Amino acid sequence: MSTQPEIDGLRQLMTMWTNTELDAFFRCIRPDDSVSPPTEREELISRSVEELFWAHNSRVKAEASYTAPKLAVAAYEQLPEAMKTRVSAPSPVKPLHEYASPLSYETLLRGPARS
Amino acid sequence: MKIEGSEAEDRLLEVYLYEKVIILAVGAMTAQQRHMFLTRQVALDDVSVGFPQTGWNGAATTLAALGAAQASGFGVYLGATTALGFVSHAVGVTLPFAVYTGMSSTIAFLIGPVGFLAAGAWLGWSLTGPEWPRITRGLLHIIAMRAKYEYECQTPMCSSSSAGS
Repeated sequence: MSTQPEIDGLRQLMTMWTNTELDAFFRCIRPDDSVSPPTEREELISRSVEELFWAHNSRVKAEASYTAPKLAVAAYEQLPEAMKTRVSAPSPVKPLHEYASPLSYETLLRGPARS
Repeated sequence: MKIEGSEAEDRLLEVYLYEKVIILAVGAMTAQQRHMFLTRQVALDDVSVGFPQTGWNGAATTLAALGAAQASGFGVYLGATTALGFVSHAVGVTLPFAVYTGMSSTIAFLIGPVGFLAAGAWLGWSLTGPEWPRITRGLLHIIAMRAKYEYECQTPMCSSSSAGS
């Protein structure tokens, strides 16, 4: 399970880009001008993928879906040991992006065409 | 931004996307701006540096270059960067990206923020919906890069890729 959001095929494509091209891409997709591009190449790639992922997926919706299992785990941990043996443990909480829709370049490309 | 034929293959849809953005931007221009866009010659030297075998350099109108260079990938690259020039300048994104300077500095004065906002009406935004303006800018950049690097991989330049420079 990846700890960071991914967009199928994009990271591989970005490995070919120059740092200037990566920087330009980040500037295209950052939420506003106050967000500066990272200086490290790897971070620039990761942050760019992340920004684009969350531009397509709603963080609000994902957080809503993320809260329920988080609460279930917290409630389970509060149970006395005797009760825990009789109640099945809730599924572990996944990273936030796992509660959003998986994304690919094709999904992104076809989105504006249909909207 | 509804595009007819949105079931087309990816490569064709990429072309449809930047063409739609250009058409919307041109549609939002004044008559004078539109005339300048259609007739003004732009320097292609900076833009075509990644496509040496196409032989495209010197001055040409954007439309002439777009129409004539589709097969080489240069047309896709030029179209995507032209569309990105419209979109990024209008929303105040400054790209430190050499290839945009030849096109978008020329284009930047052709269309102002007000014109873009009219054209940008198609980019609806809501709290829980996708942020299409950002996505569209990102897509146009990816389309340009795909065209550039696919072209390079058909030429000897591929083995001496400039990644990381």
